[in-house]
Amino acid sequence: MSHDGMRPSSDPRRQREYAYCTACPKLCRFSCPVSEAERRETVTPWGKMEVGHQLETRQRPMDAASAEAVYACSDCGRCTEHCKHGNEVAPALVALRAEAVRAGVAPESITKLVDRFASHGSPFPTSLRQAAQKAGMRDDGTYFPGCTALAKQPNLVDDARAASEAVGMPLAVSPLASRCCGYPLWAAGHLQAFRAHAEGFAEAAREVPSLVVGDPGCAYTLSVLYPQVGVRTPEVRLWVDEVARRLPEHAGGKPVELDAAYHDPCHLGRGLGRYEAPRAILQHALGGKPFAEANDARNDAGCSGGGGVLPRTHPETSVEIARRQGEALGERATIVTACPAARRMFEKAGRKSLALETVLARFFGRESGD
Amino acid sequence: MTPEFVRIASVIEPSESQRALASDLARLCDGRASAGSQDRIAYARDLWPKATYWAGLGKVPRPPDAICWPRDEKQLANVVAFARARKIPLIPFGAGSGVCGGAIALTGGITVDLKRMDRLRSVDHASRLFTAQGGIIGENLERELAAHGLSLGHFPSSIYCSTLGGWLAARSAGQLSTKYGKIEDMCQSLTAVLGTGELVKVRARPSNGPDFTQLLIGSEGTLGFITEATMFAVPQPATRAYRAVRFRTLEAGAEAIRRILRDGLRPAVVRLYDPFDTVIAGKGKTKFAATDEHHRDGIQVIQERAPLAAKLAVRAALGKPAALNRLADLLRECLLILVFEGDADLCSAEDEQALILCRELGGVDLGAAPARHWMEQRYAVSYKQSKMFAAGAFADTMEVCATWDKVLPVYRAVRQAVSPLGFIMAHLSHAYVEGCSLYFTFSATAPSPEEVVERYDAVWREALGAAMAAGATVSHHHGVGFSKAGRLHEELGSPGVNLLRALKRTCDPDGILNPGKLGLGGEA
Ligand SMILES: Cc1cc2nc3c(=O)[nH]c(=O)nc-3n(C[C@H](O)[C@H](O)[C@H](O)COP(=O)(O)OP(=O)(O)OC[C@H]3O[C@@H](n4cnc5c(N)ncnc54)[C@H](O)[C@@H]3O)c2cc1C
Ligand code: SF4
Ligand code: SF4
Repeated sequence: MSHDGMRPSSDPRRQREYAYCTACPKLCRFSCPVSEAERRETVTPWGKMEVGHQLETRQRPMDAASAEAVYACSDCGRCTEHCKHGNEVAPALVALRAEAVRAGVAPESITKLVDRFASHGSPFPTSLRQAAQKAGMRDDGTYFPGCTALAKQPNLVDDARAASEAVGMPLAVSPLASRCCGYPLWAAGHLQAFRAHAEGFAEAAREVPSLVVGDPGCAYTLSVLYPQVGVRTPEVRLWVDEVARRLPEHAGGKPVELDAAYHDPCHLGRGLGRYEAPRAILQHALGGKPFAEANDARNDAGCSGGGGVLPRTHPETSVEIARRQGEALGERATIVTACPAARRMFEKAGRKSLALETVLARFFGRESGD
Repeated sequence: MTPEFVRIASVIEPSESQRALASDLARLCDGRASAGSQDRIAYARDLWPKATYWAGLGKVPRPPDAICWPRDEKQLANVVAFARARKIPLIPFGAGSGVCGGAIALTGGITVDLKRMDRLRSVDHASRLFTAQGGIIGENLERELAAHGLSLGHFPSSIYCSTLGGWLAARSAGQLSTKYGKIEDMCQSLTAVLGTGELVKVRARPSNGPDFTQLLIGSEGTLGFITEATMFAVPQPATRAYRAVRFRTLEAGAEAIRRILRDGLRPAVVRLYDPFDTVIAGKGKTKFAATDEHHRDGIQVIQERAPLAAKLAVRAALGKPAALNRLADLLRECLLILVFEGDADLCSAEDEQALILCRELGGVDLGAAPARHWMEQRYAVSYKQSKMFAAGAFADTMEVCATWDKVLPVYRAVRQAVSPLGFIMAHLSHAYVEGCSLYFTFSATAPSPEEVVERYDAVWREALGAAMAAGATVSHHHGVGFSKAGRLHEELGSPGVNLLRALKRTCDPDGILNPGKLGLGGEA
């Protein structure tokens, strides 16, 4: 039989992680949104990581069935939170996706995604430059909303700018916003393309000292993933941090009437450790009224299903994840979140969801409206 | 029937018949069925340590031909009817955390994953009952109950990775069983789909006649699928009292437990570690002083003061178990962990009284810290398994129970039998007025994988043989599955086995449910 695709990892950390998961009693399984949504052993962290061990021990080549499993992850990081070995399952699976790409067995949706990226510079068939210009791009702008917001939720960008201005931080969209951060390439396992994209981004950002980043996925990519591939970026300042810091001095506004529940985006919470700032903003916008949270919140928060490339490779699973998380947040509440991808997922699952930026803009009477 | 282990490399794309089977099942389960190669590999094994060991080396038990995920009892009944008509084995699958090969498909067939039936259906606060579907994962169930201010009071070490249905099917016990009982004590009534395809809703505890709930509990998927259960809930505890006591000998510690239970005290947690488990598990230290360490973290005490030699010896000497076990023989002192929970006044009174009983037997109070530390780390031990297996050794546990007159003889007999073959340590837990469970952990390695597996089999043969000869039961809470099936028949004797077979014929006339488990195979 052909040994094509049977390439063990050269990274001892990954080798150990694959072996530990294979011998583990699936201790983090209950925390994995994908296996909870599908109820399938194959897509528990244990099952997915075993694919890595199979490659390590040259038991099986990376084939389509293995590839299907290793793409079944939303990069939410919740399993790592529950793993006493600190196994980083999501990046270990990305390494396996790189093998799937190399072996030519990545799912078709990935090929399509990467082709689109090559032609448009982002996962969307939209011109980001035009979208950024429309959103108020200026040469000295520092705001980086992220391509999901620009392409799919332009009023989120308007609301973020209006709310920032109201707290004394006028923001113009940075010219860098006409580039995607490249996260989809990383999550797709196209690691060489990701590195090349990151280098291009860094080159374009050479003169930029810092960016105020709105999308937590982009902030995570620029501040965590870029350094991992040896690329330096401008300093990343989070929109939520900057706004939360200024809010106490700009208290004026009208409390928003909303039966709200807050969803912790995975990259903002577990990824970047920000739990308080978004809550402070929401609390402020609601005039101090309480808002709901899921029983599992903060570092143990459930996932919206929007991370990684899951909505492309496993669209039904990601909607089911959003449905379940919506249920955990309360059947009737409007889900407020600080991640455009999460908001999209909740809406796909039939839930009403608002961006944190929009709720704050509404508080200041400056919401852009749909 | 012995499980055949096949190379993972040989589990390739499904055959035509497997594909056809999956598509038939998909029609019955709204599209949720598969014969894909990675799915068959993932469902080929449960957490039977022998299978875990082989998986590290690239082998799995023979996989099922297909897997299906029915959404409700109706779909499940249709799957049973389909399989009956074709005489295809059906293997009920909860979360696959069983450690006796109970969920492996010995002869192929259809593995039926029950986790799509995973809802907490209702909570009755007045009667303190709840009804949940069998496929719900334990941790999820507890989190949902906590939101209602309730708990099942059932905390097996596998709570993160096992289901309510699996617990009932295998007669599970949780860490707080001394207060709340085993799973069979917590179940009021249940619903099951039998091997006939019939849906039975067993009535609540009958005042007369046989109790069919108890008949299905422990049947390990050989009689039917447990799809739903009504369980007794307990309130979330208002307080906890923690106590750790050092005893000069295991005998003294065991006697203390016996007297605690005899006097009507009901600690939620009772765990007495034998001398080596006391050191290795990091729960105490053979010579640490008592009172000055009350407020210190137990593990810190161990790290500072446990003999380095003992720690190193574990790593180095797994290949020379006899020497390591002799070293263990030099140790004497044992740690008892007690945790009381519930009403504050009651907890502190029980704690006080238990301490008096312990002191009468020479127990030295170590305060709350080691017990609190145990509680905080109570699931941590399961993570150690990965390191052992990745290092080329195996680790497994054997849990039996015995009445008080036999507890220490069983302990000594098993230690003696296993000592030449593997490193062994134990603790006593799950205590009753009449006896308790003995929980042995053994590990070993050998020069080649084949020898490791031979050693594994030998350890089990000797350990369980010695335990039963000294008066222990075949199991206390891990169930029987495939690996202990022969021993179950020894324990039941021929009238018992005949009754079991008669039950099997009635509930599963075609013998398609989980063949080979509980020693029931090929009855039809
Ligand atoms: C690390 C670790 C720690 C453990 N600690 C404990 C512990 O503290 N206490 C304890 O009791 N056990 C413990 N176990 C053993 C195991 O978790 C239990 O046996 C548990 O009851 C199995 O549940 P499961 O849902 O995983 O069942 P599975 O492993 O899927 O199945 C177990 C058996 O029951 C059958 N079955 C499963 N679900 C159903 C159903 N709904 N209807 C009918 N038959 C069914 C299967 O066919 C199989 O025979 C531990 C296991 C591990 C790996
Ligand atoms: S990530 Fe950790 S807890 Fe999860 S399966 Fe792997 S080793 Fe186990
Ligand atoms: S990162 Fe999230 S989705 Fe991926 S395996 Fe871990 S828990 Fe599952």
